[in-house]
Amino acid sequence: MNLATKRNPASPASVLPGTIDLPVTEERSGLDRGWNVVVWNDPVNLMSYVVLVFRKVFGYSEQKATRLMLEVHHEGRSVVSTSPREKAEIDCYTLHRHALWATVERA
Amino acid sequence: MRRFRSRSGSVEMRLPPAELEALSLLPGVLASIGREAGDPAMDRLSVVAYPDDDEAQAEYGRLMAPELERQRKRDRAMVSSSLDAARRGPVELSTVEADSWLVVINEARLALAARLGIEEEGWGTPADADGFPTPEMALLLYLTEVQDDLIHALAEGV
Repeated sequence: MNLATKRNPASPASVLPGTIDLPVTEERSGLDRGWNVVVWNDPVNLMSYVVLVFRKVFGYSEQKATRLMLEVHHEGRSVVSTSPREKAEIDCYTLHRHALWATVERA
Repeated sequence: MRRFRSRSGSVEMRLPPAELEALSLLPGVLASIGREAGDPAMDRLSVVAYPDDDEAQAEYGRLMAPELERQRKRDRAMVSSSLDAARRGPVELSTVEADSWLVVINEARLALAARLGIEEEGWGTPADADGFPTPEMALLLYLTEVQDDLIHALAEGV
């Protein structure tokens, strides 16, 4: 929010000399809260498999991995991590390698 | 008999001859994915991170799909190689190799399930006229048992 105000073209006096006037985007404005990796329910992947993958990929405790797996199972989806976009995509890739149904979305 | 046992930093794999024959079907199942037009297994194993954003999905697919394809080939080659070794006796798999086994078995399970049209929880057991599971379902159930065994061994080492 603060960055968005500083870079508002309607307030040129607020731009300091020597600064780069980047275009205002949500990602740069401070409104960006990162990117979620979402895992969706799948009727074939074993519960124990999903728990093991969450533990290996994210380093979660067995308790946390089990809670997320159950959320996927009962709610149909679960946000399993939130991070900068590049990290979220790498995590999503690792989940795809393990054939989990995973997507990336804005947090 | 347990097929996989956790050792310190590795997993020991012991497979009886009959199971070696059953698992030798794995490379063929995986090689067949996408061979026929409209193979549902292809869709299930595709890489979709941004289902509602074509541009982001195109970029993700451009970066990730070739790498995933290379990794899958490495995983499958490793499984074929250790299957050959297992014919001579127990095989010690590194955790990386055991992970290849885990994902390869899972890919085969998902491919078989997709072709069987399994889309709901609590899937039943399609049977032939004599009440026996179809060959595809029998292989899916067997691979599920093998995967469960491997998961338990790997979970001990996480």
